[in-house]
Amino acid sequence: MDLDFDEVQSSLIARLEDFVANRLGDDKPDDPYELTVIKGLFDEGMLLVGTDRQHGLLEAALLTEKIARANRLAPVGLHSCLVAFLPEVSPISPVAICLERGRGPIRNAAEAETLIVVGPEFAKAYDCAPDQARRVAANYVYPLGCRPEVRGDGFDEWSAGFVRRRWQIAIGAEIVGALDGGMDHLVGYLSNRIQFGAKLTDKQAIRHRLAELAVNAEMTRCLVREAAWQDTSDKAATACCFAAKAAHTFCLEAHQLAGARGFSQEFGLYRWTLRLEFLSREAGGARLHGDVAATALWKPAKRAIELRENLRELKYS
Amino acid sequence: MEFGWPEELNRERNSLRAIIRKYSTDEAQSLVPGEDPYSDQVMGFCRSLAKEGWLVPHWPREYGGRDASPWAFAILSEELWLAGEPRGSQYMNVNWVGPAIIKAGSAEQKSLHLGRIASGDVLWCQGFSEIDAGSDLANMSMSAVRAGDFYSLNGEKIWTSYASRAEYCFLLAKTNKDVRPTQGISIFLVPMNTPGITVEVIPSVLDVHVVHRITFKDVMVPESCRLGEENAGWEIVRDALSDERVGTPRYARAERVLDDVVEIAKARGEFTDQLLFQKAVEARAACHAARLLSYGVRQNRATGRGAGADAYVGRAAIVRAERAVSDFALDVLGEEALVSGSIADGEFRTAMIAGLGGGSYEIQLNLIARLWLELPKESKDGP
Repeated sequence: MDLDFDEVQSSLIARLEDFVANRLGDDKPDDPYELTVIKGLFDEGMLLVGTDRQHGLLEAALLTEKIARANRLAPVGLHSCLVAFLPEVSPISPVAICLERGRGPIRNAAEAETLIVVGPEFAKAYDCAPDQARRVAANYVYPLGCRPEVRGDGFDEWSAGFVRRRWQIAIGAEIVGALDGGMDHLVGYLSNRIQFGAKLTDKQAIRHRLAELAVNAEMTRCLVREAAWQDTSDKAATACCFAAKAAHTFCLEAHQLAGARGFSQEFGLYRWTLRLEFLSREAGGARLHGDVAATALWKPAKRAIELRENLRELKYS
Repeated sequence: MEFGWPEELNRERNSLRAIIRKYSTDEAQSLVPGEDPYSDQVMGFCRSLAKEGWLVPHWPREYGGRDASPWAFAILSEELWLAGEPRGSQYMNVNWVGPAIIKAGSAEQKSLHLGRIASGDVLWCQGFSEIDAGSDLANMSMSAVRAGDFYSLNGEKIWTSYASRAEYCFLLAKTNKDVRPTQGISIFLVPMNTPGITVEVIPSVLDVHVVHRITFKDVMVPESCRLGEENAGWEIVRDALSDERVGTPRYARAERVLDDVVEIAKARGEFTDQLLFQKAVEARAACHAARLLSYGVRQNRATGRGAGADAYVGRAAIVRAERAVSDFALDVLGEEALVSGSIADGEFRTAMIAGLGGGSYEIQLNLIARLWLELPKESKDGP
């Protein structure tokens, strides 16, 4: 047990901070997928950190945190925690992922050249044509679309457990980075907002709620980092379940604390809050993560699992 | 950063578990920590633990320890809390009374106290809270007035655990009332059989935990009972208690209660609902996050960086964990949890204590706001 960064990790973080400061800048790319961010990390030898000998999945999660913290939407976690480990999928081409039985919109569906579909037992990769999927009207920062038409029967297959846990770790790490960014935005605003002749952060009621959010963020951070280090289904699902709840809580609390100004696009808080709200629901959200974790941790009676599966069949049929 | 345990520490943990099984009964291990603070079983267990080198493993050798790593201390705290805290009240001696004496004590005090603590032979209580000085501890009115080579102690301490059987009291008293509240406090190591001390039980609703009122009336103690310099008590106790923020690994016990309640629900065929799964997993996550944050605090202490704001974050997470498990247990067991001594009732009462013992939850939030989020101190003049 050593909770300090080692030299390799510190060096990676320094390189990432340099990348964020010098390569990303403040401009937001026109490409909704932000493929330039993915390619930039690839060119710098950082996108595949999870697979190299010096690093591991924890470093891939740290990479994801940092880019999310830089307010970038590129699905770095999906690439560094999952795609990097799938030899048949290009690490720098647009990818989307969804649950086979999922009914909600899919992130980057219209930009994807590859669609990974996670079923109960297996996950499969399919070719798909960009710009074919219908975009969905949604206000959750990310570009969302319907499930794209796929070509063929799929070109590769892996265990659903592996793909799901890597997806959960990617989501968790992105939530950690977005919570950091959101906290900075919120605390910065409330520290300067004068109402009734005093800063809002002078009020204990406000301070306590900010402190509660900070505790949520730290609890999430250590769970997600440990899940990345351990790379097991129970840890990944448990961490993602907690992270999803923390993300949802932050969205509601941040808008309540920021007041009406938080609703304006020019203020920019929504870039964190609505992003977090999306992340809290992706991959089935806290309930599905909780289901996976509970199954791994406590092995509920088989009858119960079958019952749930039947209900799902009814729901999605 | 890495999250695994080296084989050596896994061996240490297993060895400690075997010792606990050897010297503690199943009945003792089913108790809520604090329920049996000083029975013969507890005293015998502590002496046995000392003989096995596991009462104060992290203390320096010269004071009866074995210079074990802070991780050994973490393992010790977790395993014993998990086992119903079979050390009774003596966890306090080990966690911070002894370390405070090691840090600030005179040679005479070290000689008198440390050996007995390290051999599991003595009971202490802490004289901190007063009726008007709970969270605002520095506002105490207990006085220690010099009278030659002695101090005369007058005042009242309340909500004190273990006082009826304690041999010594780790007492805070005001030695100078003309300076800022934190600058006029001294610590006294007071024998509880000193004339003028009376102890009475305060009836409480906690069931599992007895608290007392200690009255000091013209209690004369020699100067040699003062720990550290006069008026320097605040610094000493703040340092000692910074360990205590995460010193009680409530998350370990809460996690076990969670597992037990899940087993009950499974046995009844009631653990079938996704919302219940989610609640159980969130509680498990809260326990584990509290564990990891506590480890971070311990590592910072061990590497000389001291306990900073992370200690308050860790402590807040511990309270969250205890409450999450209590909520889950109450959801599952409902009205059955009304029965005294039932698993959910014990967890509920433990959760009630968690947000107050070792510093109130709200004080932790204040400190997180100021030290972690770096918000300026609250303005007292604001509307």
